[in-house]
Amino acid sequence: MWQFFVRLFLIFLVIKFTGTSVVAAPSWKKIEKSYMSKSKKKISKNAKMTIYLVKKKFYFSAINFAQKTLKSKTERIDSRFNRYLDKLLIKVGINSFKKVHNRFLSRSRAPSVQFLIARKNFEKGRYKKALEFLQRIPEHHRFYPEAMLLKGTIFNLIDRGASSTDSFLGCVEGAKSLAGETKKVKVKKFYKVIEEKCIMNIARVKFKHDNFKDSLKNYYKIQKTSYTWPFVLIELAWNSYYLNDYNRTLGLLVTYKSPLLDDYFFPEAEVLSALSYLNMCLWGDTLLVVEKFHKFYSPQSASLLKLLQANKNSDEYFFQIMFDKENRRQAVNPYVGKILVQIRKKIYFNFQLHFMKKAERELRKVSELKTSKLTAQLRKEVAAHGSFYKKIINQYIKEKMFYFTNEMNRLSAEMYNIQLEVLSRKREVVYAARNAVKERVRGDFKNVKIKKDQYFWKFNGEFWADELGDFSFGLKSNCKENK
Amino acid sequence: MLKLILILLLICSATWGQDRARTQIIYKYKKYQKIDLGNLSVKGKIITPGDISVKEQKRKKFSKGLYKRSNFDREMKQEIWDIR
Repeated sequence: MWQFFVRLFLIFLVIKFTGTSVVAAPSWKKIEKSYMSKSKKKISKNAKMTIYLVKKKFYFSAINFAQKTLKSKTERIDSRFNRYLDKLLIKVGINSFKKVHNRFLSRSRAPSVQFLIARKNFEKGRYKKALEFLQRIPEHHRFYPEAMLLKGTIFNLIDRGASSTDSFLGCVEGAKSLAGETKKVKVKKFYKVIEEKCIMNIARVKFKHDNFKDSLKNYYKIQKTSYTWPFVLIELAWNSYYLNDYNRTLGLLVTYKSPLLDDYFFPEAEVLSALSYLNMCLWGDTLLVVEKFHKFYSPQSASLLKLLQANKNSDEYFFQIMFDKENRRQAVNPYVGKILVQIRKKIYFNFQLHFMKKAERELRKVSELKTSKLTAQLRKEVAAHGSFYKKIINQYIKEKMFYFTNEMNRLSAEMYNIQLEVLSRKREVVYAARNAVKERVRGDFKNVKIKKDQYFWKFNGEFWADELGDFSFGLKSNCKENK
Repeated sequence: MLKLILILLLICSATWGQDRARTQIIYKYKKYQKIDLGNLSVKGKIITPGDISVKEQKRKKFSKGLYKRSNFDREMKQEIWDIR
């Protein structure tokens, strides 16, 4: 008997401190009645509709009512509405409310709304304002790790390195804590990725302050099995480059040639390879890299740009390619497949796709309901939200592809500079009548810098997964011989 | 007064013309003349150096702005947009 009362007391405590509602979701009859009523009670019609629809798990149907509540001059916003609004933003994403003006959004104290306002201010470069709103997000909220990630990024942009690192550490702790609280595998993976991004950002802050060794230590905390790891390699390579360990730089970059990372192509990796060879006065190798870049990569990028220009105004083309068969994508352009693989792994893409599919499911549910003024309105609104997410995905893919081609153009100019530099240095050697080394030894183990805690194996033409990212060349610098 | 100046001028021009008429200078040039430039001497201080030469200058080394990475700020911003 006493066990029954203990359980009842525990349930009471859970309800009290988590805000869970034990009241069952209202029936459609009640919702229709509320929609049609012209009551002027304190809790407004739109706010009530929002709460009822969120309880009923018709999230996309609730969006427009929530927006009307925020924009209304007469409707009161209480803590109950804020709770449901917070849940709504988590379920449908912040993009649905981005077009609502900040002065309406700031009427709500919901933490997810504070995050949205902070994000909008960040995008407009209003960093101080963004920080004000980020302060209002509580530690155990689902957006807390992302809020700390954003905070750290802002501090870094305004050159407050120490505060930036502290915020990223807060993000790591927050992400670990929330990952531990959930049993859902996808949510755990999401927080793991956030945690890794924050660790990576700590490394980037160290890099910005020329603290390359500490920066490397932080990068090495990211596991090779992580989705983030392929993007870490190029940054590790830059650290090694500034530590004048050009062989290690080249070793890191050659990892992208392995079959496992075939879909990860970074034009900047080619530029960094050329710079590494240049710093070792290996003119032949430098010119080879430059030549390959201009003869092979640049024309492919030019043809991709033509394809993009031809379809830049389409609302569907890029969305269609994403879900096209692989051989058709490859036939369009060899880079398209690679870029799409990278996009598929982005959190943003997966979120928008998830919301789009949820909207489509909800549309089917709404279509099955009895036809009325309310359900007719909801069908229109939910269909509009579904197509809105499709356009967002299309726009995102398009932006990523344009970004890639712009990067190729920008770095192509840098490659020309490197080529001119090589020719200039070669000419200097000739004018000074210095003796250039005719025969260059193709690598020696004594040129490899190995740490005490590292083992060493020779490369026999095979890429082993556990060795990826740990390669080093053994080339001898030609610069001393040229002096 | 004016008449006096005019008379004086007339007298002067008349006497000058007579002088010119009295002396006739005949100029005769050498048929062959050798000029040794090496032996020419000019009185004065030598300021410029005697020999013509070009000073050897160091070659100007133009440093091209090669690609550098000072930060990953752009990537950090992009991380925010790639989540939500």
